[in-house]
Amino acid sequence: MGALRAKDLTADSQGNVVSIDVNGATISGFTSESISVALYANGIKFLGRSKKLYRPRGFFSLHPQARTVMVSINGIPAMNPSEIYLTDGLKVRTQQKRPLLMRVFESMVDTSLLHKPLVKNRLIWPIALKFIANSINNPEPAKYEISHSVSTIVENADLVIIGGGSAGLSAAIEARKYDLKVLQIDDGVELGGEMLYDKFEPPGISEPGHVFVKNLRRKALELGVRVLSKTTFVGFFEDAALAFSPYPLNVGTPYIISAKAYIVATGTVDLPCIFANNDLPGIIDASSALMMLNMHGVIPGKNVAILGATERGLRLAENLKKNDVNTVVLDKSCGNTGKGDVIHGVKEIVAIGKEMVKLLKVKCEGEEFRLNVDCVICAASTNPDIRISAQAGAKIAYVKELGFLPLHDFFMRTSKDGLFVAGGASGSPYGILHIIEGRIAGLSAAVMLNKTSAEAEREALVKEYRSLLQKFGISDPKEKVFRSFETALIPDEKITELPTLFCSGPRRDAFVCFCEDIRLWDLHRSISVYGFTCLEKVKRSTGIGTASCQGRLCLVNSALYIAYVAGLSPNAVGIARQRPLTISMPINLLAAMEMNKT
Amino acid sequence: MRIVIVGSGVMGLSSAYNLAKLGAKNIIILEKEYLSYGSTVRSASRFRVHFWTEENSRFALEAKKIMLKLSSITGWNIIVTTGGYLWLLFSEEQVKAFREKNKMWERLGIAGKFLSSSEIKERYPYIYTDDVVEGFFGPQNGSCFHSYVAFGYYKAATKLGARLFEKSPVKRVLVENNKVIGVELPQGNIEADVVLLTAGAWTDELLIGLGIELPTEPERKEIALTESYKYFIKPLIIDFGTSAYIGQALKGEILGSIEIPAKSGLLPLENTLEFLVKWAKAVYKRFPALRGARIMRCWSGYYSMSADSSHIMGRDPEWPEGLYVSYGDSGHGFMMGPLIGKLLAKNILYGEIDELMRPFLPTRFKEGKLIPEKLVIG
Repeated sequence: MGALRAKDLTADSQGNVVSIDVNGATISGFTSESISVALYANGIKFLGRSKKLYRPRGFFSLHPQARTVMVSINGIPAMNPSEIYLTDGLKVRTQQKRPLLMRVFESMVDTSLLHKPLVKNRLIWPIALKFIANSINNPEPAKYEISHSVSTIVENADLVIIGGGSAGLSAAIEARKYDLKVLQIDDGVELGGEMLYDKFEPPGISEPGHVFVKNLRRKALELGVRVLSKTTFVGFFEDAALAFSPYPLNVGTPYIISAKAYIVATGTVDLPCIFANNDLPGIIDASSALMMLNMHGVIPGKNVAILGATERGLRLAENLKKNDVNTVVLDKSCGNTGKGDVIHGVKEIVAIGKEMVKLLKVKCEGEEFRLNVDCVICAASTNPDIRISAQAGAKIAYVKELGFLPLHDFFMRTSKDGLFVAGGASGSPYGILHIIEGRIAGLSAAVMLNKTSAEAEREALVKEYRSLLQKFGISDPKEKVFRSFETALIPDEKITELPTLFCSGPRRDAFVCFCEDIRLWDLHRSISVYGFTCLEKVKRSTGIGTASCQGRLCLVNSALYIAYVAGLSPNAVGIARQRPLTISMPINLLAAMEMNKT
Repeated sequence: MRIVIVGSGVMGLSSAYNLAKLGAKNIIILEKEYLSYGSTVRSASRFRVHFWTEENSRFALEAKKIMLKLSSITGWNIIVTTGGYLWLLFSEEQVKAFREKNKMWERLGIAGKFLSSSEIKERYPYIYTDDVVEGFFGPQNGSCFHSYVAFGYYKAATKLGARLFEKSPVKRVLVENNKVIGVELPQGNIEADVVLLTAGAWTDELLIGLGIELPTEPERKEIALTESYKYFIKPLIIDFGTSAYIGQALKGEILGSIEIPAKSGLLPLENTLEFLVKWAKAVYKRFPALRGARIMRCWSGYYSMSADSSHIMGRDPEWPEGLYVSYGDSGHGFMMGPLIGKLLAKNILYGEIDELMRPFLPTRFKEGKLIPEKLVIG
C-alpha cells in the first residue's frame, strides 16, 4: 500500500482503494488523496523536470495554487497533480528525461540572456534564438474540448469569505447570526484549513484542533452558509469577481460573484528555505507535511530534517515523533532554547541527491556534519497569503514580527472599503487568535451592512481580542499594524536576519523561484550589478513572480532577500503589484462563460 | 543646458540617452513611481513597419533599424526576433485596401505577401481559416523584450551622466516670461532650461496645466497572458474582424488582447471580466489549438490616443520656450521610441527638425495636416 504509509492509520476517512498507472507501473491509493499524495506515499517524489534547467522537481507544497510541478494525466499535459484526486485507472506520466544537449545551452536560457558575443553576432543570434525557444521545457497546450453547455454560475451574496479555515468559518458563523447571505470559498477538499491536520490542542483552544474545527464547520453549515469547496477565488475584476473550480475534471466550473463585502481568510504561506539544491524532490513545506501525516496517514519520510525551530516546526516534530519518524530540527539561532532535539546555530545547508534529497551537509558554528535524510521540511518562516488582499487594492506593509500583511485595524478592516482580513492572512499566530479575528471580521461585515446590533458584541470581542494579543505576546507588532492603518505611516523596519536563508553566498544552485528556475545568483545580480532594489524592477529583470504560481512562493522571499542584502527596509523594496488571476484558467472554459447573465 | 525629462518610459529614456550621447551634461529624468512604471513595460512588446500612412511607415522603418542594433548599443540583449505580423482579412474590401497600401509599402521596400486561406492553413495549421478571405503577412515585423529596452537605455543613459529620480511626481511645469524655468515636485522645485514631457498618458494633465490643449486622451487597454507553452506561434496574428490579436514570447507565454468598448480617461489600471471573456471567445474560435491553454494573468495600461492616432513630438513655436513633448503615440510609442529619442535629442540641442519628424509636430492639428493612422492594433 506504499512505503510511506503510517502503520497506525490515525487518519479519518480514507475513501476507497483504487489503482492508477504511473509511467506503466501500477500503484494504489485512496480516492481521498490527490495524485501528489498517492505518489508520495509510494515513494515517488520525482514528478517532472524544471522549465529552464531541467532539474528534477517534486511538489514543494500541496496547495493547489503552488504549481511547482506538472504531470500529464490521461494524456492531458501540464496538469497539477496536487489538484486532482484519484479515480480508478488514471494514467499519470511524469517527465523523467532531459535532453542531452541541455548542458550546452543551459547558460543560454539563463534569465537575463546577457551574452554579448552571441547577441552582437548577427549571424549567430537567429540560430541561438531557435535553440533558446526550443530548449525551454514547456508543454504543448492541452488538446481537449469541452461541451459548450458549461453552466456559468452567478453567485450573489452579502458577504463572501475567501478561505474556509478556522478564521473563515468563525466569520461565517457570526455573519449568519446577523442573517447575512454568506458565501464561503475554499480551495481544499474539505472545509477546515490547517486546523484539520492538528491532532493536538492549538494555542488557547482546549480540544484537539481537528475536533474543534469540525464543530465550527458543522455549526456554519447548520446556520446555512453556502460553501464552494475545491474552488479557488480567481480575482477581483472591475465588473465582477471570479472563482474557479477545476471540477468536473477536464471541464471546470466558473463562478461569477458579486457581493457587498469580502473577508480574506486565506491563511499563511510557508516560505521555502533557501539553500543549495533546495529544489530537489523530497523538500516540502510544513503544511504539506502536516496534511499528509494527519489527513492521509502518509509519513513524509523515515529520516526527516525540519528547518526552523518555530512553533510550527516544533509542532510538526512532535507529530512526527508520535509516528516513529527520526526527526532532527535545524535552527539558525544560536544558543540552546531547551526545546528538545534542536540543533542550533546552523549556518549553511547543502542538499545532495540525484533525483531526490538523500543527504544534507550541515555547517554549524565550527563544525560540519552530514545527515542522511529522505525528506526536508521548511518550517522556518511563514507569511500571510497577501495576494488577494493586494489584488483588491488593500495597502500592504511589512512588520518585522508578522511579515508582509494588509494593514488593518482592530475591527479587521483593511484600507480597501468592504474588504476585511482575518486569521493567518492578517499575520496572527495560529490558534484562538484566528477564531476571534474571524468573529470580529464577521461582525464588522455585519456592521458595515447596517446590522447595528452587531456593534455592541463587536466592542466586547475587541476588548477580549486585545487582551489575548497581550497574552500571546504579539500585542506590540499588532498595535503597530493598527497604528500604521490609522496614520497611514508605513513602519521603517530593518531586517538583520533572514530566517529562511541557509546559504552563505549568492549561489547558482539555491533557488528562489521553482517555476522559472530563478536562483539567488540571479537576484543578486539584479541587485548588485544592475542596482535594482525595488521588487518591481527586480521582477522585470529576472522574471521572478511571473510564472504560474503568481509569486505565491517567491515574492516575499525575494523582497526580504533584497532588503537584507541592500540593507533596506522591506517596505522600501515593496511587494510587486498583484494581478488576477490567482490560478490560471483554460481558455475554453472562459470562452464558454456567459457574461450577460450578470 | 539643464534638461528635465518627465517620465521614464522608452521615450524619456531613449531621449535621455541620445541627449547625453550628443554631449548634454545636465539631464534629470523624473518618474512619478518607479523606472518604467507606465506604458512601456505594459505593452505587447512588438515592432512593425507596416502603417496605414506613409509618414508612419517611414518613421517605423528607421525606428526598426535602431531596434535591431539596440542590444549592441545598450549592452542589454533585448531578444529581437523577426517573426512577422499576419493580418487575417475577412472581406474583399479589406483585401482591396491592403493591396492598395501594399503599393506604398513596396515603394518603401517593405512589401508584404498576400496569403490565400489555404496557404495560411498550410503555414499556420493552428489557425481556423474557413471564414478568412485572405491574409497579409509582413515578414519585416517582429518582437523584442520591452523591459530590457527600457533598462538598457536607462543603464546607458546613466552611464553617460543622466540621473533618474523615482517617486518624483511632477505637479506642473513652471513658466516665466513665456520661458520654461523648471518643474514643481512635492519635494520642491527643480530648475531647468528645457522640459521634455514624455509621460505618456499622464502628459495631458501637465499640458492642460500650461493652458495647452492638444486633441489627445488616455485610453485604457487590457492584455491577457497564458502559461508557457512550446514556442510555435512565430508571427503576431491580428484578426482584422474582431480586432483580437495573439503572439507568443520566446519564453512560451501567449499574449493577446481584444478591443472592448473604449474607456477613456485615467481609469484605474484594473481589468474587466468582460475583456477576458471576450478575448477567450475570440481565441477559442480563431485558434482551436489554444483551447486548452490556460490564461495566467492579465493587466492593463494606457494608450495615449491622439486625434489622428499618430504620435506627437517636438514643440509648437507658440509654446513657452524650452517646452518639448513626445506623447500621443496611440499604441505604437514603444516601437517608435528609439527613433523619437534620437530625433528629439537633435531637435532640442540643435533646433534641427528631421524630415522624418516634421509631419509629427504638434502644430499639425491647427494646420489641419493630420496623419490619419488606421493600423492601431498590435
